[in-house]
Amino acid sequence: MGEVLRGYFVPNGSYLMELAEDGVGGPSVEVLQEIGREIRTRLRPDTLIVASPHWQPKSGFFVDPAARHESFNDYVLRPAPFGRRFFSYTATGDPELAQALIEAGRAAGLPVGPKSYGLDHGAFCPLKVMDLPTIPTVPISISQRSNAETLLWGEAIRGAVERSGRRVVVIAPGNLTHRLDLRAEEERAAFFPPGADFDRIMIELVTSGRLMEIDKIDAELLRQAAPEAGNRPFFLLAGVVGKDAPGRLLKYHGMRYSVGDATFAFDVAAPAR
Amino acid sequence: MTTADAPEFVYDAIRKMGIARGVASDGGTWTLEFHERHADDSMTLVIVAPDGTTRRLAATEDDFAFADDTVCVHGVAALTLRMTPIYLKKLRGFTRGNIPTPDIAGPSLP
Repeated sequence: MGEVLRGYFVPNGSYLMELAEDGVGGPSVEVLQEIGREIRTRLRPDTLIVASPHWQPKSGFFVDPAARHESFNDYVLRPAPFGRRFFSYTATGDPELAQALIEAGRAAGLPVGPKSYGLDHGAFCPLKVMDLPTIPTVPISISQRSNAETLLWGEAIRGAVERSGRRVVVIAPGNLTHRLDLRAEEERAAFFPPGADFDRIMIELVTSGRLMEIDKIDAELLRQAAPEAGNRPFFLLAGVVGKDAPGRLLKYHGMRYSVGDATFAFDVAAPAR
Repeated sequence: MTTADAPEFVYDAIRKMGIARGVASDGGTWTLEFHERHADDSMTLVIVAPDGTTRRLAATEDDFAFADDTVCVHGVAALTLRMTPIYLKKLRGFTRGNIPTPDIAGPSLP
């Protein structure tokens, strides 16, 4: 019997790789490195599943079934203070589990298919900072589907993992407020009150196990905060770990640069459907 | 690396548009503008020739063939473009559903 060992919601800004490489650290880097140690030394999963918030096709959910994955650079490359350095990452895949995910999604009535894609920075940035290249990895899309479908996709993933015999960690990167347009390079502490409100509400809902109430957040506040991938990482995780499973807040940076970097860990609570 | 000064693929989040630039075998620079991704993941593609003339068509990821440093756009006669591999891979990812960190950030992403 396989199992999902834990789920994580983590930031994925490419600047994190620069801070880690330079040894500067900082709270978001240090918490990722701590998660990496936890995964490598205590959880010791057979496979990681990572759902990049930057892989957003519309027609369905996709799984990369390759035996080996290479990164590609989908962040801005130019001299600047944040995230402009070239980084790369490779990981072996888990084709068997990938195929099982596809079949489980289809059995649930969802549009799921294989696609050769690789690892964009939304996936490989946190994996690189966590230092997990030796663990087989299955990239999946977060997609632009409804929250309800994303929840079902998460449930299908959990069921497939449990039937697979694999011990798996699921990582769904993202940010809370995600107003990159307000983050001027020369204005490093831009304050965005609606974003701070949104982040506070999100943290309260996530840590109290009310993930499904995310759907009830005021539409105008949601529009202003523009959370990464439309909050779908939380609906995916809700499907994987259980709709009522609370997330433990490991780190929150506050409303810096008009982006809400938060890190949550989710223990698996409810049985799969 | 020469990527810093002349990015060959950028994402404009205000216009929700990916813009790639490549060089054909005759030295002419072509531009591929991805104006919209549709529900079936087909894309509205506007191809801008070196002389400024444009051609608008619907494309899917299957219409692009990627090699190490070239991309061939099927259905467009003789349009094989050379690009820096790092941007070629970024373009490949975009055709398969990637939404990059925007070079031009918009108020609502993607």
